[in-house]
Amino acid sequence: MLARIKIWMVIILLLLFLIVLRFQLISGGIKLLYLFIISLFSNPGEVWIQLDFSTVDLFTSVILIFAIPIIIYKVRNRWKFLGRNVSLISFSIIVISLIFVFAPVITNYNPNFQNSLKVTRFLSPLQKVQKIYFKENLSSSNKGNFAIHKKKVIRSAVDEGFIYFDSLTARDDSVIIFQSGTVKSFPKEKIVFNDGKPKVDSKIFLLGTDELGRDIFSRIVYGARISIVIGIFSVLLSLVLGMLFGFIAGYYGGYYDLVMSRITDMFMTVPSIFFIIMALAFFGNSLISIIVVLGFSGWMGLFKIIKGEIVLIKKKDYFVTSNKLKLPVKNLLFNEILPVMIIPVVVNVVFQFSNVILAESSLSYLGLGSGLNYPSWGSMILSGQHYMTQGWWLIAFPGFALIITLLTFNLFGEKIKSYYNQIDNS
Amino acid sequence: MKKSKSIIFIRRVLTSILVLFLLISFVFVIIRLSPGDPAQKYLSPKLSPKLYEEIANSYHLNSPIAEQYITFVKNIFTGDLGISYTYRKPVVSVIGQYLPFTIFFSITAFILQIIFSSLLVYFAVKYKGGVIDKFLTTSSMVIYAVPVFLSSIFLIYIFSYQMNVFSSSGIRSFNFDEFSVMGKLLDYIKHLLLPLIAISLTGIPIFYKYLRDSIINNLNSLYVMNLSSLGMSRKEIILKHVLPNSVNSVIAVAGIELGILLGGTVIVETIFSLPGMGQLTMNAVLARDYPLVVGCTITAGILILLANLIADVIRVSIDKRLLRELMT
Repeated sequence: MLARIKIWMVIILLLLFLIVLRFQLISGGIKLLYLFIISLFSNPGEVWIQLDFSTVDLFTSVILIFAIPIIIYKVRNRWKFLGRNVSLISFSIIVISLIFVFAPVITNYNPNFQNSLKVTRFLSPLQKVQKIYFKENLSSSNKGNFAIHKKKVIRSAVDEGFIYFDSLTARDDSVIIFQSGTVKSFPKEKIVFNDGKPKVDSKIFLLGTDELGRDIFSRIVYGARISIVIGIFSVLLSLVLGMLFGFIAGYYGGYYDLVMSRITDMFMTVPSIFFIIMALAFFGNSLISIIVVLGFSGWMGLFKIIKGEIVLIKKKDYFVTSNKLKLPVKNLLFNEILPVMIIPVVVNVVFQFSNVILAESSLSYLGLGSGLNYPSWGSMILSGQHYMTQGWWLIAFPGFALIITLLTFNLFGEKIKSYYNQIDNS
Repeated sequence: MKKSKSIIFIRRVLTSILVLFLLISFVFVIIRLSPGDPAQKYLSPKLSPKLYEEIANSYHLNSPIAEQYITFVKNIFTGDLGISYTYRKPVVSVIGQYLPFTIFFSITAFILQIIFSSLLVYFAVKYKGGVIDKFLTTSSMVIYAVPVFLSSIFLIYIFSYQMNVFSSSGIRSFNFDEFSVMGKLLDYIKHLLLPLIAISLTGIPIFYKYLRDSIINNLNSLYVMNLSSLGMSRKEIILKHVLPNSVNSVIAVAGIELGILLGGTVIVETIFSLPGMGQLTMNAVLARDYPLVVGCTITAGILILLANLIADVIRVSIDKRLLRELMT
């Protein structure tokens, strides 16, 4: 039964599930996009100021959530992998990439969102919290339509519109709420009422909250993003460096080969974590420096593969012929060499990707990560271990996400490798 | 043959020294590329620019780069790595204090990894294709994906916090001096067992995978079929022919594995606060103690170079064919 399900079905089902689950958020995003396009013609200056990363992020998510099914429909015959049966590995790769793309739609929370720390600290998974709303004072808003709506849709790290509480008593003129030890009273006219009673909503934290009252689920979702961004860019950097050096060493040979191979030996000799730590100590740790340092520390494997392949290809007849025909170096590289070594390179890239994710989480665990602006699995585990006795969920969920991601990419690499070996043997 | 062996050995040593030289040059490049110069890092910005000039001159920072480079290389090869900012002692003596523990720790972990992975491989090969084999192979894949800091935290949570049997930090108790000899030994074991398990878990899956794959590949090869058709017992085939052939590929991995091991010590020593090179490096980084960071990196590089050299010597002495390969 499970074997019949194809990859494209899984993608569409997950997207449908997402649309149903976050219908309000997505429709808000669509309205925001509509307002944005309208205001681009009427009041472009104000809109450009209001545009920031999280808005663009939401726009892309909202567009892609409807565009991806159409794209799948268009290319279903050309991209053969869409028609393959889904396996556990491909399922989790799909989930990870959907989390990467649709992070702002998947979570209802900003990863750094904090409110009523006394109530929301160390909430265990699936624990329910109640909240009441404050009336908005609309008098101060002289901003445009877009800005007002943006405030409603985009999740910011601060929201003064509501407050969490443990229990409440409604008096004639005021509402008194209790927050584990503190008592706060608000005048009646500030609170939103519903049928004579204060409007009370309950919120469930799916995976609990951490020591600062932040939602762990949304931090894991955004942490996946940071890991994948760092992974993609540093692997790209390694790929470019490895290809460049490998091509020079393999194609020109001689002294180039000798020098490059010794330099590669040197890089392979230094345990990369020492090298990374030293480089980060000197350059300071930020998102960019982590990407660059991890990229620089991972090109050696690719270099060896590419150099080895080029040395082999150089002896082949077809290459000698095309060389004799005076094909330019650029054409040789793109038409003759690259297609041959694409599979070993892809295998290496996948393993490299999982290595980078591991290295990034280890570094952020050691306190050398991309900083506190971005939630990262490693830094979540680091801060969670201080409160290990108060809440296991602080470590368990990010750790689980990390292990699943690493396992997925390791197995994916193994799978491509064995597939490649099968082709090679037959 | 004897003569060519020593020539190859000398050539191998010379290559290692060349690589070490490249490593030192690379460290120099990183130091000079990084923003700010060493005198700025050494001084508080509140102090007068005159003092800055003085210190920059005493560090030869105003002389040409080539000259600085030569001094740097010369100093390192004579064992002068500068003075640590935090310890106020020469870097070499600080590292000398912390190095023995890391060497002891890594070698013990390495031996543990080899013993346990060969035991597991023994069971996997004995019941090849059975439930045990499949279970071991799958679980080794899962364990390989668990980062060392997660397994350390897990072990601390179970054994130190929940069961309270092993200690989670340091290498000895505060009342260590009161114990008898056996008690002291037991105390060490109590402190070191968890870190040793944590770091061994990183290497066991790697050794297991390579050893198992190469043994099973060898068992499927034609020469084993030939030997068994000649009437040799399976035990003899495995001990005399398959194992020596398989061990070789594992030793080649061992060199790489040592790098992973040393990287793992950084994390494990930090978590369990063990007095080794890894913790020293991390503390040096967090305290921005640059000479110490450079010293630790170079020491780690030398360690790995030495380990690779030893691994190559062992490989050649097991398999003479490699010598011919290296000669050409």
